[in-house]
Amino acid sequence: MDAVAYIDPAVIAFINETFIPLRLPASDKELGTRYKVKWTPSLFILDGKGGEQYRTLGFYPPQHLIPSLLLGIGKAKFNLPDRVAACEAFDRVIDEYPHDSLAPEAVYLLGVSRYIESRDVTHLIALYDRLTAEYPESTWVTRAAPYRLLKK
Amino acid sequence: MHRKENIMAQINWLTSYDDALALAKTEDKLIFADFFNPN
Repeated sequence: MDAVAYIDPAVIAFINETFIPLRLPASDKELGTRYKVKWTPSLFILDGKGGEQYRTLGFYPPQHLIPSLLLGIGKAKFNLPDRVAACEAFDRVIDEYPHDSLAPEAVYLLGVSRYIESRDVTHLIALYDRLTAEYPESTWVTRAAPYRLLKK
Repeated sequence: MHRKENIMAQINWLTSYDDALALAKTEDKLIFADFFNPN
């Protein structure tokens, strides 16, 4: 991460502007145990109480790290719950990184978030239609498949 | 202030968990935590 992602100017700006960046050795006995860190690098998004909101593993190239963190922000905001901020984060993944492997998941989560806010099933139908149109090979099409049954 | 001045040069890592929690509350931000292998 130090050799590639963490020297990228866009990554530096994104992390510094968006987060409180915290770096800890995985061997930290107390925190490594508390967060069940078994692999390095293990990347977390934590809330202000230290609650784990998102976890991902492995070495990310810079062009994939930002969309991964945006997806994590969306999940964290969804859980808080701040559904408006969650939708904004998912939207950014889709709009700014449409070819990233995480974009189909963002389409799914955006549609579900909008449905939960509004109870309007057209959001579920729309997410299925968008996935089949834009990401037909994605496994998220299968996960969204039941929503096609909502069509009248 | 140091964090903002240094925004484009490098990631402004904190190494204290407690400091990170305190700043997260003060600045109303999430924490990005990297558990890394220093060896």
